[in-house]
Amino acid sequence: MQRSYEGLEQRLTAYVNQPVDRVWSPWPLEASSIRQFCGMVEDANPAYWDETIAAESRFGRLIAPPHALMALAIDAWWLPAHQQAELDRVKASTAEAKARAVLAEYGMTTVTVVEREEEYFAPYGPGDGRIGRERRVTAISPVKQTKVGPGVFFTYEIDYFTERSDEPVARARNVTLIYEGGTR
Amino acid sequence: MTITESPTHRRSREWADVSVGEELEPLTFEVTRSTLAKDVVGTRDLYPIHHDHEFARANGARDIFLNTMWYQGLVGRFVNEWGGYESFLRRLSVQMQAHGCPGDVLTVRGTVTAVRRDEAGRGLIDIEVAIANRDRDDAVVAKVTVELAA
Repeated sequence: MQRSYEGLEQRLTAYVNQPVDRVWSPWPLEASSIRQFCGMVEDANPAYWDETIAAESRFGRLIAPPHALMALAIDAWWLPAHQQAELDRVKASTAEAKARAVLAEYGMTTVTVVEREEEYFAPYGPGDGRIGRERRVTAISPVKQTKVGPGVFFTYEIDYFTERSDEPVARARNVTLIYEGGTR
Repeated sequence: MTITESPTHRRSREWADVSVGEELEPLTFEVTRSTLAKDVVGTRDLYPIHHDHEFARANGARDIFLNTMWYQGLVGRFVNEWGGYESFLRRLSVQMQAHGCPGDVLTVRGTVTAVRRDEAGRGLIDIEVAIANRDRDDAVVAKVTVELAA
């Protein structure tokens, strides 16, 4: 039997464009994380690898690939229980988490990124501390029947900061499809 | 001051030397199971659709597939290898239209679509990138704006 989505759109609208808290990456930005990212795609750019060349460059120091932001700021895959509990508490209180919980009631829990757009304002690198992100839901579509199952297009924007400055280093816009997997 | 030379990268391509329509040297990348493992390590993305074959197939994919962050890394590498190590990405959008799975051979191509300066006087180059897999030329498409140092 097909699900009814009546009233879902109105429930989700309450979570769009709500104020957000800054959430910090689990640990400071380190050269080793940057190099694992670069190694993944075999990127030999000396601005990320060679301290001498990087120091002589217009950046004046080793930097991170600006486009590695999402990877470098991602949540740890494991934390000690008390740290994980604190992070879960902060994240569960966000409008995004509440919207996702509503979608989960309808079986829509599988996520795939449809489009990711980022704008980079300034270089950042090792020594800049942790990466902070402020993640705001900006749009949620009505339910669509997609080729992988029923789902919604869920759009959010993220402002990224480091502990070095209160000015954002980047802004991202993410369009994701959150769908009911395993329904085909 | 003597500038240390990089064995892999030029310092910077000259902004004034770039023309609309210029094509970047194509880049080929073979995707293996190890590539997918390195993707998890490099991006710390433990979402099972990228490492659990059964989960991926149960959720409509033909196999585990590369995540967006991996493509961001590849496109960044591709553009900086062309622009030099002092080139700096200002904007990047990536759109995945088909999955990149173990066994695929990807070919990255790029074309300059604009040579311009922004209001701050920075020399910007817009590049359209397409990543081909075995089935289609536009499995992943990206739009990049890169600032050249010169």
